[in-house]
Amino acid sequence: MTDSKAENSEYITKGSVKLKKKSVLRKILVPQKEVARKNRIILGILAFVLILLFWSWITYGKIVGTMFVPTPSSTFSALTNMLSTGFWSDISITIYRVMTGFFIALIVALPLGILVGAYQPIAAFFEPVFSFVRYMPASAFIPLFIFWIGIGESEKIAIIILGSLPQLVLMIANDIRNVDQSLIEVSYTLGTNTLNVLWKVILPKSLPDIMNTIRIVLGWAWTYVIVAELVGASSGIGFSILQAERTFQIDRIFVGILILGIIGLIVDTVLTLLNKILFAWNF
Amino acid sequence: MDESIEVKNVSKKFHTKNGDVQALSDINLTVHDKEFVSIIGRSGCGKSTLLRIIGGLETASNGEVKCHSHEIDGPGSDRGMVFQHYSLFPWMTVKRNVEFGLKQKGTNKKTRSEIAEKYIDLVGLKEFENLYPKNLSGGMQQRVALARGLANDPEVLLLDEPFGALDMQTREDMQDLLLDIWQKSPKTIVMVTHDVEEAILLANRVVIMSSHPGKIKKILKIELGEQRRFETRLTSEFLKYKGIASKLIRSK
Repeated sequence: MTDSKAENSEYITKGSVKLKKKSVLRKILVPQKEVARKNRIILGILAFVLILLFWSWITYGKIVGTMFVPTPSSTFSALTNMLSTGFWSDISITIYRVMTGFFIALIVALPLGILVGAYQPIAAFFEPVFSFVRYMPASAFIPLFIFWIGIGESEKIAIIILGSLPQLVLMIANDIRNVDQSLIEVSYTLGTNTLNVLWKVILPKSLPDIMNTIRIVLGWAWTYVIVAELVGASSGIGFSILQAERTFQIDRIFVGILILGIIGLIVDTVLTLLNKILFAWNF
Repeated sequence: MDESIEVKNVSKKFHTKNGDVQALSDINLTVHDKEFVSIIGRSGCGKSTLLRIIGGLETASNGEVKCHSHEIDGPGSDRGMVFQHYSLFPWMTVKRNVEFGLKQKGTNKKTRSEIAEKYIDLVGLKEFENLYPKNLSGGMQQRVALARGLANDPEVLLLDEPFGALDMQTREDMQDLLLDIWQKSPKTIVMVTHDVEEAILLANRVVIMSSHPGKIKKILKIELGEQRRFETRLTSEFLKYKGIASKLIRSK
């Protein structure tokens, strides 16, 4: 009697152990469940560490020749070397091009996107054109723009404007459209009219979304500038990548690509943070 | 008694892909000054459409709607509205939400602040006036919406299933609150609801509508006295009204 009871309880314990093992994984992987900020940061860093380890393994372990993939240490020394021999000016000229082009595009796109989003007749007029231009890759215009404008700064800035403007207009218009109709209606019954509802209700409500759109399109603008610099330029990060390729300095290509990633990450983080500070009500 | 809202021979047709839908047919209704009227009926009877026509958010296909003898032409601050889903401005604090209408009118800052505080206090949210809507519960958000509607001092307050999204306890609290506010300072209120008890408890008259097309079936005058309370629901007169209204809603 007692024996069988003991056996029984053991069986139950075994069973529950099995259950516990399963529940640990299940506890970690719950769809949409929030994870502590600290753990998120650790996991994010872990991914970078693993990439670095993999990179070290295939290079120091001579799995791939340094002709094709440089070691982390030679990449780092290439970076310090480049920074002391004028790479800063390449970085700043690229940033200057992106920011100028993007800023001009934004100045035009912001009012236009708001109007397209708010007023259907304006949308009916502009939207098909912008949707069409959006599907023509900005990089395909580079030869044409070189032919028209030359290979100076204006050509690169023009490419960035062409690439980001349609995206900005269409996405900002969408942000404006996403404002809940009931919010607009209730504001009418509180005394707004069809003219001032735009800047009293629609715009303030959609500002965080517009800010997010800006962040996303700015990321794309980086791609356009690099392509423009690869095709025809005498300075900039894209140009220095091309130079490195011509002289078989693979570590310098790595530096160029990594720097692009780092700048992108910094800008993205700053904009995300800014969004959270400026629009605290939304988070 | 003065007439506040006059609805004369109003009908409304919606044009849809599957043909025209007659939402309202030949509606006649007069709401007197400082009267509380509730409109009740099955879903699809056009009660919300009627309210939206009074609010100026929809236009009638036929007939005329007047507010204090003025033909209604679009929405305006003389007819404040409170919706089921609160519709608070999320980028504004509770207080700035309540001040919104006053600001549109150009009321000066000091007066605005005083009025807003009065109504925030009235709905019991004094400690919460500097919070954003997302930090409030549904019931609290609806209190803010109510305060915002009242603070603007419209001639008519239109309530579109205002407590429909709340749980039963909160809904009853809100009904008591509204009853209390209305008894202290009567106001013309038209409320659409699907809750029979709510309709009877709060209103001077209950408009019962039938569907397809939306028509007024009967208008019940509710004589439960001026001083109504939560317990009024338990009286035999209340239950009598409830019986009559429920039957009318159910009958074809």
